[in-house]
Amino acid sequence: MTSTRGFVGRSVMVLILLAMSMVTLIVQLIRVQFGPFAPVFASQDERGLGLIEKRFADRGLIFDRDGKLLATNHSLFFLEVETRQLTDTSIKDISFVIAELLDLSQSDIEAQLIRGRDNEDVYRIRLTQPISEGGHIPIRMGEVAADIVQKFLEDPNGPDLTGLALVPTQERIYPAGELTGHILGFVNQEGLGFYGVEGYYDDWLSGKSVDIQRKYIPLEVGSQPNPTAGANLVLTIDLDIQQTAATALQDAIERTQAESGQVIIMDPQNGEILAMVAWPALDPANYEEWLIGDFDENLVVSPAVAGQYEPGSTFKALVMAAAINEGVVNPDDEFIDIGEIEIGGHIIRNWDGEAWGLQTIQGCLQYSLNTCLAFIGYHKLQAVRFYSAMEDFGIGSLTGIDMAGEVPGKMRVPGDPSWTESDLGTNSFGQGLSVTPIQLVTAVSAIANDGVMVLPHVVREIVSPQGEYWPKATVLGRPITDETAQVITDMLFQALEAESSISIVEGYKLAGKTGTAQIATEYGYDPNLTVASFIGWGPLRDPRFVVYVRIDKPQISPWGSVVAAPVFRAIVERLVIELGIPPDDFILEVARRAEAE
Amino acid sequence: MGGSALMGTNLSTFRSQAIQPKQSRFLGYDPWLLVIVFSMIVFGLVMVYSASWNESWRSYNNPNAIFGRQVRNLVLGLIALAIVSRIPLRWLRTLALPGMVLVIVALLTVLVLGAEEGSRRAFINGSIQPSELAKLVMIIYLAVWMESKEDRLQDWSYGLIPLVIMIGFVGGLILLQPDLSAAITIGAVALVLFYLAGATWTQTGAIALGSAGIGLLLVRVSNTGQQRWAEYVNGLVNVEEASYHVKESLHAFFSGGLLGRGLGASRVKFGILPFPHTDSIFAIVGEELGLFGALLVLFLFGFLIWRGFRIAMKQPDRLGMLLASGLTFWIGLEAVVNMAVLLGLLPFAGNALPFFSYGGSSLVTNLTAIGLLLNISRWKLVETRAKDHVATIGFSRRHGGRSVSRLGRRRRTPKKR
Repeated sequence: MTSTRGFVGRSVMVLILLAMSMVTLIVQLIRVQFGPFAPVFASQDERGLGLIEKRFADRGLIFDRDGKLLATNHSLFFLEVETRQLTDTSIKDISFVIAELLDLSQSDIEAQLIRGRDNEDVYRIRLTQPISEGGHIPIRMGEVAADIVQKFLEDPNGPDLTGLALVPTQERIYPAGELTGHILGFVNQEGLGFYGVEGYYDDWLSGKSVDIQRKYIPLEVGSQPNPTAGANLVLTIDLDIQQTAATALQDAIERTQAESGQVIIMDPQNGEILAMVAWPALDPANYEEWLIGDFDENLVVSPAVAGQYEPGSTFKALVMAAAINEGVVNPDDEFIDIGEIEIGGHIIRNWDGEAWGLQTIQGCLQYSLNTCLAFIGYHKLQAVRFYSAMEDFGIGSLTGIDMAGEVPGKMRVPGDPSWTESDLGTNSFGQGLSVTPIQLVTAVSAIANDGVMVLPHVVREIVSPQGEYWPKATVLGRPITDETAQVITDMLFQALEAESSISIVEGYKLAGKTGTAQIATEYGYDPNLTVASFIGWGPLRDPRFVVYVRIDKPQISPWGSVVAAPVFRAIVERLVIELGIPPDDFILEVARRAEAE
Repeated sequence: MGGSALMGTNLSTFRSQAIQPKQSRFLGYDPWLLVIVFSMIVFGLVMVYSASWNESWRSYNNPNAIFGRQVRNLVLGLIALAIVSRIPLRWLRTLALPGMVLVIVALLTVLVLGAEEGSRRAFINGSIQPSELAKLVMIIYLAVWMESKEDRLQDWSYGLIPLVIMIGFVGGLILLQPDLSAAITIGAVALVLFYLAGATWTQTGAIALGSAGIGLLLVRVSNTGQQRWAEYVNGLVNVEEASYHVKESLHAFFSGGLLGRGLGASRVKFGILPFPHTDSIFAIVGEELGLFGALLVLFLFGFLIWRGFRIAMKQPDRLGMLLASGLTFWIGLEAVVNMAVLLGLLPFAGNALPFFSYGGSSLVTNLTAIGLLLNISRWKLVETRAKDHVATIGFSRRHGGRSVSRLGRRRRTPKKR
């Protein structure tokens, strides 16, 4: 029979067993603290204890020069979920409420929640929705729906939305919509600006975003820095002039059944861009399609700075200016046109294939004779002076305009392996090289502005909490002298008066040059399609605007004088009113009266 | 105290003259046991509050909700402790069988009408777990049963086989919930009780091997068991391959250092470590109070085990011995298993840390067990050898009723039974 002693003996056995277990526990406690895994734990100390996320600042607003709002922000909310707080009911209720409010698939949201809950490494997820192109984008909820969710979150009797959090974000709104699309560019869902002003001034507009660590441990939560709001921008764009240009362009494109077109209006004296429109217009609300169409050269965002083309005859104004500036020709010099000229083994013919016989240099420009300009370029200016003058005009390099996506164009110069002498011949009348519209406008503005070429820009004023900044007119250079500018202006004034009567505006002295550029394709120049363009400025006594019109692939007529010149006139007729420029006669009358008194 | 002196003389008529209550003690209880349990309760409450407020705030919008419930559980537990520490122990002989039947009914009911989906362990929204009660009643029942079997226990057909059938039945019911760790706990306590009651080495060995074989089979069969086993084995070798729970728990102990991050300063309790206020509370102690705090908890349990077995060894009768040692071993086993799991030494089990972990069923049954221990501790073998100590089986309830009536003026009701 078991005696007490027997029991004591057995108890001691059990006690020894328990004591050994406890000793093992103590050993393990010490081993955890100092054992081989201590470094592993030490390295993981910060793991999962705070998510770093970017908090974007309020993006700066953009106004036109009269203070009309061009870009603003609109509050939206991302839907985020603390996965550790989810329960079976809250998974059901969250997915139901979100799906009902936003007309989304409940099962998809529920699947995301369950995936998040079951993933041990995840603490917080952002709900997404599938898009038709495939893939997922974050769900963004408007303020109305967000208010409802907020009420539910606060209502103890409402649906169980435990774990759901609304994270504010912003959506960019462009009140002028398509009208300013190509100037402004757009902002993506992550708040990054692309193209145009949004792209160029992204750092200014986006302000100083801050990295916020979303601490998981309440004890470690501290105050986090607020993001600094972005600077506001006032553009040089005048929305009324922009609208005028857009209407004129759209009319012209419809009338000529053209494919695309652009208008740039710039103040040649200070480089302010007053209007910049392009067709097809970019709707900033649907910018995605422009990203897909990026490969098509005719469908670039901000084609004024990013679209390069062979300028054709409008370029002749620059060549002529260089020739006169160098003193190699005078307007009254004579040239006998035999209809073709051979340069570097390449035969150059006139636009109509005809020989124009005896012409003055003025006539060469007026009738836009390729042979004559090729002769001037090749024999008079010659390569060194020609390319040096073109580089002075900024051809082949960026103008430096404050819009993102600018391209430098292409001009082969002597020394480039692919340059040949025939290039000089074709370049002289605007072929064989490519420029951007803004390059052409900038270069021509030097002629309009007494030989001074100024930096084109679209931002007039930067207003930030730190202060205001007004960019001054920046002189890029003096490619030609005052006198040359006067001579070329006179030549183009006469040419316009004589030839492109369609572009004359009653009461104002204007100068301008038409252009009809052939379109280079893989198989040489397209026989039918052209780029019809016109660049002109005025009023000549004190030029206030350079207007550039370009119509791509017009169907009714290939000629710049027919297609683009009327657009120029339509715009200038409105422009003088909007800019408040009195007719020349009126100025003379005022001057005369002042003299009489 | 006059009351206890009166009590002593009355009881001595039913027991050997050699046994006397210790008069110098507070109500005759073992003072160290009181001190240890009181310390653990206070320590445990502090830790439950620290570990639960975040969970409580998230689940109930009130950081005090879980703590409040634990205080309520504690009050219930202390009432149970006070009652069972004063009842005559021989009642247990009569109450053991009905208690066991009640527990089996409860286990069956919970299987049919359980609160949780999937696993059916509790009544009324998970607040009453009959498996905890089953452990306590099983120990009482086994102690009574083994005492009554005396020498016949060593006889296979009288001892081992009925024991295996009993444990198999109750353990099986708990397994069906499914609550593997509770079933294993009952098996282990039964085995140790069987050994303490005088089973031969062959018998003990046979049961140990047999249950180990069944355990292995269960682990093989059940998916969770298999997964836990694999995680356990990997985790022993390389802590980075341990289960998430164990990894985070060990990380908590590590980041606690020697003296801890400071009371209340745990980081893992904020949703990183699962069950911070229940199963994982020892890891929170380790993080907030460091190695020092963890060793303090170990020491308290070690001391409790020592006192419990000491009480058992001083007992004049076999019921007291078996009961005291069984209850002590049970509490000690729960604690050791819980701590070993959190330290990655055992595969994951759902054992709570007695007096520390939040949980009503566990706290109330543990305090009831302590009440019984305190009750037993009132009786001590004065002389080294008591020849006629053999338990007086067969006292009817009528005698019991009479003995209760003298327990005090404040408790008259039992007389009316």
